[in-house]
Amino acid sequence: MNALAVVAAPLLAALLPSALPPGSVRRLLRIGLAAIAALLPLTLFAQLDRLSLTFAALISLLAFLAVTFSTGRGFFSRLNGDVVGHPDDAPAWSRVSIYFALLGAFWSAMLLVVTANSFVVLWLGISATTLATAFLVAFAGESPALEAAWKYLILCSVGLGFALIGMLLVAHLTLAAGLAPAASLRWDAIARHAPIAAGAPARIAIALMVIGFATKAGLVPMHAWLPDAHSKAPAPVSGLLSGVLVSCALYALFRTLAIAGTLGAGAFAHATLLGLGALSIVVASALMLVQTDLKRLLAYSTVEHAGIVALALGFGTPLGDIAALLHVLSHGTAKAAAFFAVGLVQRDVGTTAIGGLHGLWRRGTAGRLLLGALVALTGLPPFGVFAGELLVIIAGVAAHAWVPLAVAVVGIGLGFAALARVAIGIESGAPAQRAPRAISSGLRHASSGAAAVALAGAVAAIALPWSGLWR
Amino acid sequence: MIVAPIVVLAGALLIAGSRTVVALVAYVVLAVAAGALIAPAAAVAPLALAVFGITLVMKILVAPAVILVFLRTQPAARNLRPSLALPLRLLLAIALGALGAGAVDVANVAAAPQLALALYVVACALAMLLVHRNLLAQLIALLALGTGITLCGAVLAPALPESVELGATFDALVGTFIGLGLIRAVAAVDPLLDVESLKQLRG
Repeated sequence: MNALAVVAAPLLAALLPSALPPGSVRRLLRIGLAAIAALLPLTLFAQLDRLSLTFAALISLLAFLAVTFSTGRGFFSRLNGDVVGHPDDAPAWSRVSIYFALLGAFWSAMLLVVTANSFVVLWLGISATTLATAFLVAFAGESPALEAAWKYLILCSVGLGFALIGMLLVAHLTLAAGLAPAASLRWDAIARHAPIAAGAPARIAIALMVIGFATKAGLVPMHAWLPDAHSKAPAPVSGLLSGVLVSCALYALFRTLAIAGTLGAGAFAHATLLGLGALSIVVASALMLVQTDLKRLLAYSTVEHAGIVALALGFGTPLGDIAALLHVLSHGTAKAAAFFAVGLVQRDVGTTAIGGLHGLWRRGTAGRLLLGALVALTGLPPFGVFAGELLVIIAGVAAHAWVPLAVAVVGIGLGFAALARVAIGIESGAPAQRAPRAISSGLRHASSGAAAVALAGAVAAIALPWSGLWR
Repeated sequence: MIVAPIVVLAGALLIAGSRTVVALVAYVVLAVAAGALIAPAAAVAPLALAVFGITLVMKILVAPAVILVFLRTQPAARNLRPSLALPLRLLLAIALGALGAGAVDVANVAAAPQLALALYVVACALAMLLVHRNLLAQLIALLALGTGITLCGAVLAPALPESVELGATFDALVGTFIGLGLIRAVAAVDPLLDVESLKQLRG
């Protein structure tokens, strides 16, 4: 199948149901079309490499779950202060329809990022995610949500501007080395080319690209927008932002590293990522310890895990690359599950304040799913994050990168403590006296199911190193 | 080359000006100058020429017009609310010009004078983000950043005119139209559009 059709499918799947009259049919059609759109990337098996396919699968799974979660009854009631009841009771082109259209556009843009074979198209895809998600972050319409969306828009636009300048400098170098204009920004063509000893300009180009994509990935010190945007967006959007948008930016870093060696800036790129990764892990973990809001804590946890992936890439070894990929998959699914579960908890108890979550374990499915997701994120077995972190540490030892590894291990320990503190609070103590909100069973099935499947994915991710796919 | 002094003056106005309309005019001048530089490269292929024409109209007509219309409904936002005194802003503009030239020496690439000009525009746009507290200034800065990137592309990758135009314009226009949507919502709370009103989220 044509890659463009696969990329456009999620947007069409989001737009088509809006033409139908409100009701259960529209709701089911939305889920059905999203499922088809999620399966379509498999038809590109022969056209894409394994890295692109793996990321496309992660994006499709989590985006489908986010659509399913959002389709559940009552989701928009909570978002809009009970203004809108059932998502499909609203007319076409209401706020609800716009929400799904933006979600579809977001999904399409992410697929464009991972199916492109040129930095220009990849860059356009990442920019398009900003277009779709800035309004989603501000969807609640409250002042803090607007602030979060504004910071996100400005910082990411500037960061991506840097990345574009870096790409232009890369094009300048590859054109000078004899590559045709059409191939000058294709990573496969550049990676196959004989080494280009470009010196300082190559290092500047790679540095600009790393800074730009690291801004979108939320690596410290370019992370200022991430805790705000991820904590103020609606729960399924937060799940996608943390679970896959950050992964898309990390994918761009994978591709940047692929060309850095040809340009003679491989060691520089790896050292830069080692530094950014270690710094992100330790700073984010320290800030996790002082958070009082669960969504904000999870957002900082995303910065920490993006740092772990950057660190693994920085080792510059095949084992490090596999560890990074495993961690992207396992963290993406676990973090999406955590944000989905927080959405359920927020609906049930009306708060995301950590102090208000005591005894949540005894309150039902939402509390148990949240506890499971938090345990997954702490890095305990049998979840994929455990295998990912273990593999990253082994890769660091094998690469003799002792200093960044030591900093990272301290940071991972702090992050564990921050998440364990919340998990213990959820498991112990008396439940808060706040009465649960009356929610129909429809939401519970769709939204809880989405969170449970994401959590199952976090367990399944552990199989990646033994799957044979990456040997 | 007459374009260079015009670009230098317009870049300095982005930082030194204190009226939103002045900054908007400075941006339009920059965009026209950048268009003049990239036009010869775009004229060689129909696709590149089409992309160039469409993006130029968007950049120098549509985006400024939309901002002007918005400004008419928000008179309180006509001041950029600079956070630095005028002499300091002028000094900053001069320092950025010197930095642009220095950066080119480090990069050691061809067409150094034009690249210095492009980097100067990028630096002015980034400085504009920092020295003005009006949110509209940040939008105009994003547009100016797009212009600076277009200039960089004209120097560094003249063989890829459509890619450069598409990339730089997409970033800037996305920022403008989404940003205006957000600013409309902020204006309901703070008609001054002061960035200080967006400092609730910390820690």
